[in-house]
Amino acid sequence: MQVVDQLQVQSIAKLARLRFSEQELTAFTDQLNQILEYVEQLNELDTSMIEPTAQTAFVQPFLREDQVQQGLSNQQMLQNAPSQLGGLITVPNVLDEL
Amino acid sequence: MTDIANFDWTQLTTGLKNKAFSSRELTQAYLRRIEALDPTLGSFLHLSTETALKAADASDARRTNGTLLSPLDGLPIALKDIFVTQDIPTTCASRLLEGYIPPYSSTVASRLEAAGTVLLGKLNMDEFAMGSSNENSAYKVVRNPWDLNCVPGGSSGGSSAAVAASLCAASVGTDTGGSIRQPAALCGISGIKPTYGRVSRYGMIAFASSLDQAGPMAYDVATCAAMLEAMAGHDPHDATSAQMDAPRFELPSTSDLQGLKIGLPAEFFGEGLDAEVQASLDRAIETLRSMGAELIPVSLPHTSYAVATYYIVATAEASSNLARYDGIRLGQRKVPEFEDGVDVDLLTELYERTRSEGFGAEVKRRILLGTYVLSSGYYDAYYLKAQKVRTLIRQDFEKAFEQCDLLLAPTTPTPAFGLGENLNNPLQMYLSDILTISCNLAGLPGMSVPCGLTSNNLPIGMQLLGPAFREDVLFHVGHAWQLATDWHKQRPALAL
Repeated sequence: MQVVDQLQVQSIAKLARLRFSEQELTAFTDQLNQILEYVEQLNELDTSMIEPTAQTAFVQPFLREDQVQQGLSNQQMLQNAPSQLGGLITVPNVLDEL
Repeated sequence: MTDIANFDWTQLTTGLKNKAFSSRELTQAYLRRIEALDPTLGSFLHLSTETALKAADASDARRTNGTLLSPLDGLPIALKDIFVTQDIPTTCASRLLEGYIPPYSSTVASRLEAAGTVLLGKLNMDEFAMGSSNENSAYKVVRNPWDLNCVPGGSSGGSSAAVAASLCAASVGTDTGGSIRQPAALCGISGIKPTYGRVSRYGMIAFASSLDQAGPMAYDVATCAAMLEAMAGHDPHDATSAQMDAPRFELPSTSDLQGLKIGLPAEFFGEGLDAEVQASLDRAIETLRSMGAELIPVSLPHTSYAVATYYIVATAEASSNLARYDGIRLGQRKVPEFEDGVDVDLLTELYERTRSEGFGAEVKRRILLGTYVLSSGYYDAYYLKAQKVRTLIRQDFEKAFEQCDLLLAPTTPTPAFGLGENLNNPLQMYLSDILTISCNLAGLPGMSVPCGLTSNNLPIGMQLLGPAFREDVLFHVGHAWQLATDWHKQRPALAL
């Protein structure tokens, strides 16, 4: 059963900023279809009167005084940056012209 | 010094206390075993030899001065490479994080350090915690110490193999769909996934934020209890952290389970279960009866929908959590090649190349699935639907716990499978999680303890599932079980 075709998988990949070879695209499309076919079974259940469970933690809002606390230094935060200059992270040009 | 390979919680702590050996000697003993055995097993991604020995010496000094930090002081442990550790490389077994050195430590790592444990290193896992066999590690495979051609389970494969092979006194893993319990079962050790919110997720690289939970893995329940006491408790850094203090777990001194009601969920037994696993559970049920427990049948009617629910919810959350790996602030950035005259969106190129080259196939598969189920037009049909089925699964447990104190089930349908066996069939791999998954969806605590060996000398584990925040019941029964039986004392035959 085909729920998605290669073109659709291609556009989902684009949304997730992923790209694939022809081979990978075929394999992923097949696997995705198998999984999506499997999860169809959830439609056997009537959930019209059921509230969704977003999370199971029994949390109440935990507030604190708005006081500045110790954080990481700029140097620490930059230590894993792939490319940096003058205390800033550098990236390729995003704008063509200013 | 005597072979530490068989040392349980009592022997380790007594030995340190009576100065039969020092923390340094103990640490060195484990390091020798790692050197001898880990090239074959592949459980460690990073060894922190120097820092470990320093920490051991500091512990020995505290012991001399009478200023011990906790019952765990001086114990050499290792952490799944999903916990950020300051100045110690953390990769989540992904190429994308190769070379990443965290500038801070996770709460789990900090608390265990504050308890005086000695950190031996970081353990191998399935990439970004996605997998059930540790075959998805971008670095190397982990072999099951009981049979080197078999998987240790996953995603905490390194954590379970290292404990089973006595390369550390305890380890910490994470469990999103069974990733502590399943490898614990396949490697013949004890492991617990606490109630969601019990242990802080701060600094624990996120896979599925509403399911992830850290937990200890060790030879015995007693060690797991001591580890969880040190790890648990409210953390202001984690908004989903339960506003409770760290619990104290008092373990029973006898194996008497008089007055305890254990439920056997029908859907977790029967079809699909390996015959030897079934036989082992049957014997365990008889043993528990002889220990005084009452065993009653219960039902969790929506069990068969758990895997489908999980693979929508978890992948959706994962696609969101992994969006941060964009090569900008950290990680292995793949710089796009700029060709003269070719109009290319450099930023998109950077994102796509970084992510496509950095992530493995299983991660990409789950990101695709997650992105699809959250995408416009499909959110209601998939994600919202799954979250509603999740409520039904949760209600199943609530109803069952009205009749009993905890549930008993096998942890996995089969013992450890062969390396490569399920690699080309993702769906088949997913189905091996069928017995562990519901517990994560419901946010409840679950523990796996050894309960048998197959005719091929492979471990079999049984699962104890409890109501929210009732880890005490699991520890009580688990420890009583380990007083009455010696499955947890079995060791793989590994030559040094």
